[in-house]
Amino acid sequence: MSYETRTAEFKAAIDAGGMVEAGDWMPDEYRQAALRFIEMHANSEIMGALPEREWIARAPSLRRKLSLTAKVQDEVGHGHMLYRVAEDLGKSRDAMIADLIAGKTKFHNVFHYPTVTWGDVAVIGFLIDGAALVTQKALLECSYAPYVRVLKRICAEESLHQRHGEDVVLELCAGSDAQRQMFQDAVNRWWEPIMQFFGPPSKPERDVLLHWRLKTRTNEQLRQRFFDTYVPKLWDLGISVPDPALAYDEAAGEWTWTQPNWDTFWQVVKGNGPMTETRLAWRRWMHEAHGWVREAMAESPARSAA
Amino acid sequence: MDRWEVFGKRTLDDPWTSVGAVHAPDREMALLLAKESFFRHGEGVDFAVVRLDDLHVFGRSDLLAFATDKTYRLQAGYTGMGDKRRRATAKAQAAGAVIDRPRPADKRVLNTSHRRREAADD
Ligand SMILES: [Fe+2]
Ligand SMILES: [Fe+2]
Repeated sequence: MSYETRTAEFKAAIDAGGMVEAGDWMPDEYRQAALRFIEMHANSEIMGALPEREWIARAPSLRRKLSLTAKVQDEVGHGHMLYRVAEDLGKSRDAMIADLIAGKTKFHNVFHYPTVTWGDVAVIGFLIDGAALVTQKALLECSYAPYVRVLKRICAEESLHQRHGEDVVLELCAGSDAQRQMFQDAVNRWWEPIMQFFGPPSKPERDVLLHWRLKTRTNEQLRQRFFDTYVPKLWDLGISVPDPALAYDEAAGEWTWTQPNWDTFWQVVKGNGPMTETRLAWRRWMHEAHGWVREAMAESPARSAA
Repeated sequence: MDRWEVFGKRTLDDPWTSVGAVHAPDREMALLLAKESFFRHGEGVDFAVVRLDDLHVFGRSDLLAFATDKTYRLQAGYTGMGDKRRRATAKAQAAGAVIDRPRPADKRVLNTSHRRREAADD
């Protein structure tokens, strides 16, 4: 059977709702697209742990320190599970980590920004975990079965993060004026990066991830879902969103909103964000400092006996 | 004769779930017996067998239990969200801060005057 026929059959199977396993035959384009997508997801979990890690020691109570630590541990765990899935698509974990810390591969735009106050931690936990949950839940319907299995577990943990985030938000919003203001300022800082997080409105017919059902929703559908859930919640708390155009258009059945600056977005994901270098340097340092663990594992007696 | 643990998947995107065990002299027989024992009625889309010797069980439930309060790792650590939400909204309402801009019909301003259980709560 020719490559083209095989690819056509593969595509038909996917369109009919078929799932792909790691050992199955797949077209090179599928493998490449899946690898890049899952690798970027894994990178984002690992790098996404850092902004919150910076707040563990400064969290306002012992319980918040513990819950933040647990959350950071979950995120790093997500990274590990996802690298494992990505590895089967043909790139070693070592190579993925090396590319990440060399700045050769990408991670989500929102993790290139500083966390200035505890309000930023509230925004990350509530709105960024919320945005991630919207996108990851949609991925549960994707065609790559090993990814879906891991996502089921990740989504369960993300909904806990999101709840923890809302708990922090509600505490600030029911608190003093200064606390409310701290959260409002953080929302103002983060709104544009969150709009950018979903990506620019794209043409579905030109989206290779949609073509292979590695994604099932367009960027715009996901952003609209996010508005549905989170904007009314913010408004009910008396928290405004720094977009005067943001409102639900009853007739159109969707939200109107203002496009953010997409040039900034591309600059940031290409590695020119305000915290990109700092966080990558931190990640590099940790990678080197923990090299002895990898060495010890490689030398373990169980391994040489096997 | 070896004992084999049998794992099945209801759907392809499910994780492996232990469904039982068979006795068999080799892998082929174990797969056949597993199929005939556990998957005759459309129970799933795939299954696997693992020789019991190759299954390393942790077996220390005491080490999985929480030695200290770790409820912050559980959904149960964050209860009463609906009440907290209403309290924060009531505060915003008292300050005249709630923003009532056009929103989907099913996302009305949270009514704090009486306690309603909403689908979205908790
Ligand atoms: Fe995560
Ligand atoms: Fe998370």
